[in-house]
Amino acid sequence: MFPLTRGAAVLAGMALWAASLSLQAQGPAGTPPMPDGPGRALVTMQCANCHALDVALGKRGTTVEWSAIVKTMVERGAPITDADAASIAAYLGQNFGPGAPAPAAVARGGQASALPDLPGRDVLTRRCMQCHQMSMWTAVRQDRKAWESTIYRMVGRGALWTEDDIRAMADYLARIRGPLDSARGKPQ
Amino acid sequence: MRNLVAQLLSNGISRRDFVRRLVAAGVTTAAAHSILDSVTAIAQTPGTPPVSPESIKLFQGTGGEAFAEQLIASGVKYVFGNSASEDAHFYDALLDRPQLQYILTPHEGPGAAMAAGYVKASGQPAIVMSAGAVGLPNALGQMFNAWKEQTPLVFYAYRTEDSLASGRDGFEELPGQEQLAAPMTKLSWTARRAEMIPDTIRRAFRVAWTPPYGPTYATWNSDFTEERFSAEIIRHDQVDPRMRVRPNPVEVERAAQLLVEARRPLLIVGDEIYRAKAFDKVVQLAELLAIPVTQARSVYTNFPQQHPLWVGNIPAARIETLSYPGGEPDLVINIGNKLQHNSTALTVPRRIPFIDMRNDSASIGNVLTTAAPLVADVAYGTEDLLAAVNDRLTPAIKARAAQRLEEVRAFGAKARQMRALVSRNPLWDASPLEADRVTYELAQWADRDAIVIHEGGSLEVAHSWEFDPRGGRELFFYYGAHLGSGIGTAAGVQLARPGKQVICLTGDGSFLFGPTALWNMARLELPVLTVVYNNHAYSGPHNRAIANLGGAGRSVDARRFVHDYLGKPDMDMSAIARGFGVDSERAKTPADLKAALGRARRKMADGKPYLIDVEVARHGPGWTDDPWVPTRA
Repeated sequence: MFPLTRGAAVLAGMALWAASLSLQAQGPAGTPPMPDGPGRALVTMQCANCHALDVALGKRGTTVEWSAIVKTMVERGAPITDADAASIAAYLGQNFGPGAPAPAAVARGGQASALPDLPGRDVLTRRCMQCHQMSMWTAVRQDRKAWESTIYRMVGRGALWTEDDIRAMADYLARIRGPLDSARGKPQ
Repeated sequence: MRNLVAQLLSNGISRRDFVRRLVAAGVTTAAAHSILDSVTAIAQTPGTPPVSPESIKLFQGTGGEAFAEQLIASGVKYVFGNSASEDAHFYDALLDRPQLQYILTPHEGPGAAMAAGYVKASGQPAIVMSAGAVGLPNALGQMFNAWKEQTPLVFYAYRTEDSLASGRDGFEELPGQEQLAAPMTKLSWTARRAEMIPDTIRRAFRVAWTPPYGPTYATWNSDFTEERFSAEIIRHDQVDPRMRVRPNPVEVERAAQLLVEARRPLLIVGDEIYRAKAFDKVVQLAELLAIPVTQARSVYTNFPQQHPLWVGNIPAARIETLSYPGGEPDLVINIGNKLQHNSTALTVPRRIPFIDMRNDSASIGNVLTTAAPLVADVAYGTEDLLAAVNDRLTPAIKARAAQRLEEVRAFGAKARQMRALVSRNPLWDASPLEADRVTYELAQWADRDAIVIHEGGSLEVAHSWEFDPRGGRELFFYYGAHLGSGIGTAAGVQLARPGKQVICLTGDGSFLFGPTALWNMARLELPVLTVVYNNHAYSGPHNRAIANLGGAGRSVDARRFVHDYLGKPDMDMSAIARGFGVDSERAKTPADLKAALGRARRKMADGKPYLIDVEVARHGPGWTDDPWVPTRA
């Protein structure tokens, strides 16, 4: 057992930020490559001031959509001028727009970790990401009972979820992050 | 009686406690209230209170004796120290001053934690004594905690660098020793002459106990303690500024107007409420307008958690993470919370008007902008705000509040049911135990007014414990987070609150930083129950390190972690406890735990401490049943 650290608090904060995005989540990734261009330095400096860049750059959106996100960040205390906000949104819209390739997913066992569109995904992203980022659990593979236990431990940590939510999340996680077939290295 | 009055005037005890103690001393309730009114009237009368012959005296003797005399005059009962030959004249002075008790602590860290626990639980002054530059560094971690938690704890360590032998790289010589303490004390002061010892001590207590509270450090040449001199010894009440500030009335009116106009107000509570014993007033304010109440990271619980307006703690330092009815608040009022910020993200977004009431004026406006800053003792401030809000109440506002109360009450009832789902965990009966199962069993076992000392990094207790600082269960949380405070704090709390059941919840990692106060529990017969949640790992850093790697990384793939596994060999905390003279046992199943708690109760009824080392499950990515450990190259 060990205390919540500064890093953990920041993680929690950035996870919540990610949870509020209306753009399609692409899944966790390492910090993606950032093409050169006007606004790149501002993104590095301003966005990384509060959260890891992969949290932001794992998303895709138009310049208008990125503007809305940057505005939200300003409302939450990010010290970004209007001019800088416009530059940041323009850079992100151009390089991380809807047509940009999906960020390289972190490969584990040869499987891409983007969240499959299966029943339970919505409740998972809505509930889990209220308090932490996906990388808190994407390294885990376990059976349904163990996932259910994990989720009930989140209840112990203050999550206010219904039993229906818990069942849906456990079902979903067991499907996408179940134990690997040891012989083939694939999900069972 | 004199001491009680001094404590009341210095805000060391509440008015209710003052009356209760007078009644316990044989005074009738009516007479006690009368005395209270008189004292309050005197305190609020401009001018200097009368000086009694005993309040100031001229003392002649050694520096050690003068030190002891001034400690007594400053209201100190307990000295928490570790042995130092240079303080010999002080030890000698204690022989004919039995009212000043020396508690030998075998390590300065847990010793200082014990002192801090005593101060926090009693509202009484105490001092930590360390052996110069070799002992003081051991206490610095707890000095840091006292600084972060605003605990009025006085530290003393002699110095040798200015002694006649200075400049020769001598034993214990450290140039600029006071600089060790300077960043985390309100005052760090060196007595330049022996005659300044009483004045230096007096000043240290005065500054520490003037709001906002905080630790102070006093030092002087070790030579001074044996010198003989004459000096004034002055009782604390003669120098205490009794600083209890009422807020700016203009801002009170502004805040009251904002409150009555708000449709979705939210109240954040914090530790200044506990220190001012302002619970009843804050509850009254919340009820008047049916304001939902939450709390950000704090040392204490500052609002009764069974109350229908309680909506739970803020999970992640920002109000957006809080689930409560009505959506985003349109007004937030903070009473007494430091609102720790760990990033540039704000606890309260700037778009929401914010009222901030605290005595710590230096931190108001430090991060958040304020629509109405109320620099005040929170008891006085809330009192004034109550009056101003009452003046503005209309039938429409009352009707709105009544409707809000029902919404929040319904939410609270549902949230309580959801928290109880924790016991549906399919591993609830497993061995090793789920940490939540341990916490749950303890909550079933504990007294209705038990005091919990919480130093378990991965523990959340709100699913099974509801605290009420008004006479129910109380919580002392390790806000400062320098580890190794739990055992010492529990010992100090038990010393301050004899008769109360004190339970220390600690992780194995935290426990290992400071178990020596177990010996103090055994020696002083302090019946504390210590429960070690032992998963043989630093599980918090394990999980967060992996998250920082993006949920992957070579260490995850290889299942090799160099920084977090504490097994091979597994440490037996119950054996450690027995080494300090504390009876103990290990528990590996829920049945073991229940049986152990039964034995603990019997032992504690005899005035003895007890420790249960509970085997809890390790959870998180990458763990195996047989974790890898690095081998010696």
